[in-house]
Amino acid sequence: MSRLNKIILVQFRNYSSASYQFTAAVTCITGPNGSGKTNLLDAAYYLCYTKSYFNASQQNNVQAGTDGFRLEGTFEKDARKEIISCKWKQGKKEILANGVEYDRITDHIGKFSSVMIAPDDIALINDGSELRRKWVDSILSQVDSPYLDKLLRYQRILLQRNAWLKMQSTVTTIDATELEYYNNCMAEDGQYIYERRKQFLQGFLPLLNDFYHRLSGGKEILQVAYESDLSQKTLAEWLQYNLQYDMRYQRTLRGIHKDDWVFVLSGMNVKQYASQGQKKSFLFALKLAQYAFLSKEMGHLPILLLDDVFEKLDQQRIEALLSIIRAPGFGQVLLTDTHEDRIRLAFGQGADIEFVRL
Amino acid sequence: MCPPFLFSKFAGNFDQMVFSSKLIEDAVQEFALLPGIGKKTALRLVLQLLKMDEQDVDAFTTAVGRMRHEVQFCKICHNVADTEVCMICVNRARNSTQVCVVETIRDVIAIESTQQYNGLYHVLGGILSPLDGIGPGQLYINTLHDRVKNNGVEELIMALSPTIEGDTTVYYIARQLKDLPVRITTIARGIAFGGELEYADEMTLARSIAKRLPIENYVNSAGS
Repeated sequence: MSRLNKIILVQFRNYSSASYQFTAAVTCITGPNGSGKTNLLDAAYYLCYTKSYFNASQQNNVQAGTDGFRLEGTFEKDARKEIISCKWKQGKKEILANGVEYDRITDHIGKFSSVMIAPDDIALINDGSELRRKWVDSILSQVDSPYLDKLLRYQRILLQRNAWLKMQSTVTTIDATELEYYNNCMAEDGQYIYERRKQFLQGFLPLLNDFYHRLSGGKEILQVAYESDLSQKTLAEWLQYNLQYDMRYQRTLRGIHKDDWVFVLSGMNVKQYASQGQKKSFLFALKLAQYAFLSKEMGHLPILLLDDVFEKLDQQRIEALLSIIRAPGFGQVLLTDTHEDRIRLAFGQGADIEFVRL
Repeated sequence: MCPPFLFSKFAGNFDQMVFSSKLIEDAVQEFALLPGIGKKTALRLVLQLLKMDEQDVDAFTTAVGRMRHEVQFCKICHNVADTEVCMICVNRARNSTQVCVVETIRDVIAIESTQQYNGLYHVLGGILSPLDGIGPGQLYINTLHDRVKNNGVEELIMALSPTIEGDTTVYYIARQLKDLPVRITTIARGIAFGGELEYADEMTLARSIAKRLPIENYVNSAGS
């Protein structure tokens, strides 16, 4: 199991300088709106993945009026301590483990893991395919480090290939030697990514069903359909076959960068037909299955980060969720709520819970 | 724990530097155009020049001016030169059957500093990167083709960065020259000299194992 025992935040969002200790199994961060509850959770997420869960732009993580921030976390994994510090200043990011800087930041990914559940996450079900690809990639990158390398390479070559396609509109004779190289690399990396994504569902689906049933109390069958161009043809064939269309549209139309996953509940498309409540249960099941999948594949328990989730859940689901996260063998939980009483009441007497009041 | 003043709130506000002399200000502006030089460093350099003897400053500016006006690019290998053909290309003692293909002049300097290479060079002037608008037409690939065809080149050593763009360029050149009787090699990639195994990244380590060397090669290269 891995846990975060202490965190230091300097000029991170609304924090000038602060330090917090986490000692219980469950830590509840309470405080009024705007006091920085979510920012504290996000800082814990940042230390695991060296990026914010909410903000793609690093600049947004910096306290207003300053030009850099620093986070430091004291992690404990298998009774060993490790201090991770992340420093970001004027566009330059540095990650250190016990004072030693990583050669490549990707080496840090997969060392400590966390799973965040936040109010806007329903977009994972409702919005476009990019979010779902990022979500699957974030899971597979942690359990399979070649996956991340291949994905980054694929994405870089995709950019070069698209730029090459655009360049061809300005030249008279087309020299396809570069394209040949891009196609070869993309076909190889893309095929690997496709196989891993396909394989991922086999291990993931049973977990997803299990958590959904525990949350909703129902017995519906959940399916996740992986939709990929590569299920019809290999990527090498697509890149060859589709070249004239790629040239016309000046971008690569087929490939694993177009993959999507369709969530199906008892035969109906969740995105289109499920109720708000069903979507909520589905989302929690996705995240908890992610948690279980990561802990199984990585051999240690991630940290569960719950941002303001109790306010929006009904009593039955709160109880179901609590019975899952309070079960023996579950990892560290950090959660936020505006009302301390609500959490005290929900967890009841004798729970191993502490409160951090902002 | 680091103090809150680690990141100064005032950093970056030197844009509004106030000068009492327009001459100084102009010089600072010019220096600040150079890579790696910010306003503060530029000011430091200018103030240093101000302290120096006028003759020394003249010598400095003349050297910079002459360098820019008079430097030529070798018509064979595109390296910098004071004459039409550079000192490396005219040197008869060098092995003209071996040509090392590099991205920039800096790479020539780096390889020359090793004093281990006795062949010639070919400076491409960049690597293929459509994202940066660089296609084969922007690079000296045609002249490389001509050199290989007409000058008895037996081996091309590709010394380009191990990036997607570098690899694309290697592939491209290899394809362009595939009908010519030339051996194309690439520089070895792997564990850095004096590097410790456990600190090597996995990709490098995996490659080093896949492309391992027979012990004879290892002992020879380690001993030389």
